[in-house]
Amino acid sequence: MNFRVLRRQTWLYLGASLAAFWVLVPIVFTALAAFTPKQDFYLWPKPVVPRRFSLDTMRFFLNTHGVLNSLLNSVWVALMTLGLTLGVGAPAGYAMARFLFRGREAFRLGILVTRMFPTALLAIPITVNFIRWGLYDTLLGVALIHTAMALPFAVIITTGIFLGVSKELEEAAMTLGCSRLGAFARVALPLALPGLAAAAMFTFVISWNEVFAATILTVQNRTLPAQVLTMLRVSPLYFRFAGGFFMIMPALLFMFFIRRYLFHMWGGATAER
Amino acid sequence: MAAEIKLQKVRKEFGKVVAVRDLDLVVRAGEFLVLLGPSGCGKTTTLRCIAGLERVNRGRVFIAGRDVTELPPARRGIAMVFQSYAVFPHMTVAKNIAFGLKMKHTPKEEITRRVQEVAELLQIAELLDRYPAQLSGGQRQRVAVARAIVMRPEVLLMDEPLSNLDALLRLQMRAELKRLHREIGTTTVYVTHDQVEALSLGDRIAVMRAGEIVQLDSPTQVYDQPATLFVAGFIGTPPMNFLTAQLQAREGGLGLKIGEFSLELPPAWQGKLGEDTERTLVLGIRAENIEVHAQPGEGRLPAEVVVAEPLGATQLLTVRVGDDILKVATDPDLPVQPGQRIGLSLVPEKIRLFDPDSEKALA
Repeated sequence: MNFRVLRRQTWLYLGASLAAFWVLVPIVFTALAAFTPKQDFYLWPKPVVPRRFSLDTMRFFLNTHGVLNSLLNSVWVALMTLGLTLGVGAPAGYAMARFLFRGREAFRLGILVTRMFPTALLAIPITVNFIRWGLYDTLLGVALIHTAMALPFAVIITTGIFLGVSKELEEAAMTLGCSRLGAFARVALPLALPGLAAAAMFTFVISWNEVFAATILTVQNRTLPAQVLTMLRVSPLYFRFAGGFFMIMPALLFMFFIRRYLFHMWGGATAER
Repeated sequence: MAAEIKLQKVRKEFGKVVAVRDLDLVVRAGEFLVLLGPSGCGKTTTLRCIAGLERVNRGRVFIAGRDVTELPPARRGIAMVFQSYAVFPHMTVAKNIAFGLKMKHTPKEEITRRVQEVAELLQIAELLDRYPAQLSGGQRQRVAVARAIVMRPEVLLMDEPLSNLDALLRLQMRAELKRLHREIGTTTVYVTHDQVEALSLGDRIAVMRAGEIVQLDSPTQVYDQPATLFVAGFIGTPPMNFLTAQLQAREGGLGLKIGEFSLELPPAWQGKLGEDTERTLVLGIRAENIEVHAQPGEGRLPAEVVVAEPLGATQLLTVRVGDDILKVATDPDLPVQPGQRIGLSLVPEKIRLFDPDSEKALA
């Protein structure tokens, strides 16, 4: 029996290591390339430990015309997306978690159905309408599309979070003198906050990483991924690595900080912490 | 300080399910009333209607003579202890207990004083700085009770507060709740499905079934004189025994026939069983009111032992009489074997009779 457990553990760790390897190797190479001086970049065979470290490539990337501007655009779009998504998604999630209403299951399904249509299919109609509404090539327009993309996840995630906060806690607050709103603000919200923060970062990253809609819907006001994508096609290899590294960093950092809450986010039961 | 609660034709429906069916109930000021019933009988819903956590579909709720039907829980002068305790996990014990007082903008010094007072009353004074996650179930329970009574509510509502505790702790807390009620004297409504809890705690017990109160009486009355077959079969460990019996009029009184066995009814029954003296009834009698003889004999109801369970202080026998199965308690030393024929004598004064159709007690 012990042998069986051991064998299973071995396979599990082997599989996990392989998966980690699969994900990490490109990231490591990207990072190395981004911080290698231009002169060493084409060296072959590649030294495992880089001999020299340089910020030149990164500096060059950041100073390239349009990068800084698109970076600011990306931050703005991501923040707007965040506000819109949580502003609409969190109350929806709360309602799903707390109230029984007609069509609740249909609503739950309908949320996911919105993700059924490929963005490519919707690109033309959306572009046409955005031009008509004056949203084309605006940050708000991009933020709205990102919101549409992130909202289903936000609703599902926040439903899980609020399900994790026992209803009796709010009721207890109400019997102790709180109004419905007060009970939410004083009890449910503080308890849901870590999960909500994780959901917020998740939304932020969805917007930050989104390329397709951002490329189609903007011309002048590009977000960073859209800008990088168009730029990279005509750039030298080391420059592409710098851009790539810069793009993945926020996502990596985000995952690092919220990994503890990820379980929470997907609806783990955490009523009594 | 203690207030009367009055429910007037209260009705609560969830979709097509009627959880509380036009319920009338008066809880006297200072009384400890237990709502007892199997799960799904509407007892918790009734409590939540008093608390204001459920809106009633019809009827009115009065607390201290004030119509509170439309008021939110915060303005009803109640406090509640929940089954899951519902202690706020993100606050210390002290903050938990102080929560309600803070909501009422009580002065700081008074809050500190009252929290300390009630913490000592419930013996959790040394836990005030801890978080609920660092407490045991029993301690959380005390915090929940402290948080409720620190409010000095007119009405204290408890929803199965002991059901999540282990048996020993439950026994201890039960006695403590009783002491607490004697000390603070608040009108208390207590929901439970545990009849032992109900019998030990209640000044009166309201036995509920299918959204209605079947019997509302003192514990002794509910136990000795159950109003229906349901109450008789629900209360007591073991519950009341039932035997099919034939009513017979005879010279100088009434009698019962159980199979071949005849039994004289005490004269007190005279005139209480109506005109029809030749009908089938259900005889109810508690285990402790049946005397067991190792041998069948003259004047004894013949029975056959099915199972014998020694329980320490007593021996519980499961016996068969005709088609009916009875539970009887006997001396643990009585030598009986499964399959053995024995004789039973019923204490005539302790017999209850029920109408098999209406299931109501005859008396």
